[in-house]
Formats: sequence, structure tokens, C-alpha cells
Amino acid sequence: MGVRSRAFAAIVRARLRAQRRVIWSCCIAAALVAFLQPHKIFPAHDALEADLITRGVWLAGPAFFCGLLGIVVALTQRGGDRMRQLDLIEQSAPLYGRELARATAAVPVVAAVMATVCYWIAQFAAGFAAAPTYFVLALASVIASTLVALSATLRRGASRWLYIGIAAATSAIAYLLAVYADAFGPVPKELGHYPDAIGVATELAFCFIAGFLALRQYGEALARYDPVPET
Amino acid sequence: MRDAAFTRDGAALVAPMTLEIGEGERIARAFGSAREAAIAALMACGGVKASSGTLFVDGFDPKLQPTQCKRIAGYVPHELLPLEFDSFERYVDYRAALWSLDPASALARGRRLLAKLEGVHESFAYPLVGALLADPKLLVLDRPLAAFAPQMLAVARGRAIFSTHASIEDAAAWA
Repeated sequence: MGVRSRAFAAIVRARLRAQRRVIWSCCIAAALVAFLQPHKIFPAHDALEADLITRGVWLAGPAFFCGLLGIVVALTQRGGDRMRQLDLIEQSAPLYGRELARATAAVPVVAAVMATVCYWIAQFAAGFAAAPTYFVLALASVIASTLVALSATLRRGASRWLYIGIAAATSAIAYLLAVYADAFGPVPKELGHYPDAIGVATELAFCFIAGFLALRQYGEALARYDPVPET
Repeated sequence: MRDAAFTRDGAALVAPMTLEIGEGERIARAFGSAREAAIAALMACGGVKASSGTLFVDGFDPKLQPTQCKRIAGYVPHELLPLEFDSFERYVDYRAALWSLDPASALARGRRLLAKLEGVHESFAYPLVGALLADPKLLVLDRPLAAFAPQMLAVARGRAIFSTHASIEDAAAWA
């Protein structure tokens, strides 16, 4: 294992161990909500409305609830007594901001992915079989909003809330793209067999770009970050 | 460091501070509050960038060469060791990975240092051992306990030591 990957693995292991209860709680909460959420798809007047309602029901639960869990786990990465010494040790280690950012981002992403998988399994076990594509879409949305929320951990006051708001908006935009992007015009003839193609492609592209920019920005902010105690 | 100060949102959290520590020297300084002491310790090892004044760690500027500074300074936080490190081996492995040290030789060195810290509670001994694993030239301690000063100073002998304290009595034990 290379020098940098050793540091990455050590940080991820230590943080996963520190947050194992939070991660298991997220998984259990996701599974419970997946069992309890109403799975009924209401009757529609036409094919387009039926399509939109079905997509919405498939995606809304996992994308919004697991996105919320991802944001919460991201916010617990910094601050609090439990993480304070890990933070200080990692900040005092000879690592670059981007290396530290990747390692610390991996933990909430792992938690969010686990919660989404639990949600999907529980939903399937409850007799609701959504299309597998929507699992991938939910996962992309959850990862993007979690990565955006990480920047909130380095800020205080109004700017902290602003980043939390942007993370929530990321989930909402991803949902709107996945559900409604195909409804704005006819699907090109070449994509006739893939009626969801535009929605799927735009949602994945949006989540990739948002997640990539968020991680870059988090790395740069972490390099400038001063771990000053609040009190 | 010369007139190094830390301000946030216009408020001076650490007043301008001037000090120079040579090899083998020791400085224990008391500050007006625990927060000021914590920030001063972080500033001294390059963990927090000074808002004004100049600060060099063995000739390196923490603002421009943070990773070089962090290789020279070992930092012992005031915060207690997280419970996740239920074994010494696990803790040393974590620290060795962050400082790119060979795990086997880091563990051997860690055990030698720990043996010298007999009587010091592991919550205080492990962080000191962790800070000394990379053999830093400068050791910075944030509000260390006065009760363990003799044992901890004996282990860190030979290097520059800067400790910050929230009371003059604690600083006197480390001076």
C-alpha cells in the first residue's frame, strides 16, 4: 500500500470506528422508513402523469430521506468531543488539504451508501420493486448532497446554513431532473427503447459535477481551515 | 515567532506573542483563557495560521509550507484520546500511517517510549507517544496536566518543548 493510501485507509478506519453507532443508526432508520413509507401509486389521467407519479414514488423516499441522513453524518464529521482529537491529530499530520478532504469525505459517503442500500433492500422486502436504475439515481443524489454538506462543517453561522441549504437543493434538483427532464419534450427516435434516458443522464451528470466540485471545494477550504476551539 | 497573533471576526483571540525556542530549550507559558492557550499551541506547530506577525518553525513558514512544519513539530492535544483506540498497537498504527512511518519500527519505538511513561494514564501517555513517533525537533503541548510533568518531560528530553497553560501554577510545573 502506498504512503498516501495508507494515510487514507487509517483515517477512514479510525473515523468509521468512531462513528459506527451513527452509521448503524442511519441504516436502521433507513430500513424502518422504507418499510413504513406508503408504496401506493395513485391512479393517473394519462400515460405521462402515470409515468411522472411512478418515477416520483420510486425516487422520492430514498433520495430525500437517505440524502438527509448523509447530510447529518457529514455534519458530525467535525466538532463535538468525540471527533475533536481525531480532527486535531489529522490536522497536525503532514497531509495536504485535498488528501485529508478525500479521507474525511469517504466516511459520510460510506454511511450514506449503506443507508441507501438498506433502504432499497427493506423496500424490496416490503414488496415494492422499483426499477434498479432508480437505485443508482438515488445513490448519486445522496452522494452529491452529502459531499456538498461537508463544506458546512468548516463554516459557522449563516454560511454554515447556506451550505446545508445548498446540499438540500442538490437533492431537490437531482430529483426534479430524474423525474421531469423527460417530460419537457419528445424522446429522440434513437432513444425510443430508453424512455428515461434524458432524465437518467442529466441527473447523473448533475450529481457527478456537483459532487466533484463540492469535494474540490472542501479540499481547498480544509487546507485553509484553522481548527480553533469554539469556546 | 514574533508578534504572532490570531484574530477572528475582528476579535483578538491570541494577543501578539513573541518567543524563540532553541534546541533542547523549554518554554511554558500561561494564557488568559483555555481557548487562548489552545490556539497558541496550534499556532506554534503550524496547525493554525497566525493572523499577523511572523512565525517560523525551523525556518519554514506554516502559511507557505504547512506540511514541512508539521514534520518538525509534534503536537499533543489537550482533548482526551478517543475511545476508538482500544489498543496501543491500533493507535500507533494510525499515527504511523499519518506520518508515513514504517509500522513495525514505529511500534517498537512507541513501546520503548511507553515503557518510560510508567504511571502516566494511557489517555495522556498515548498522545505523547504518538507525537514523538516521528522524532520531532519541537514538541508542543496544549494544556498538559501538571501531575505528569516529570515523566513526560523526561521522555521528551533533548528537543525544544513549548507548552501552553491556562494557569500560572500549571505553567510553573512545566517550566
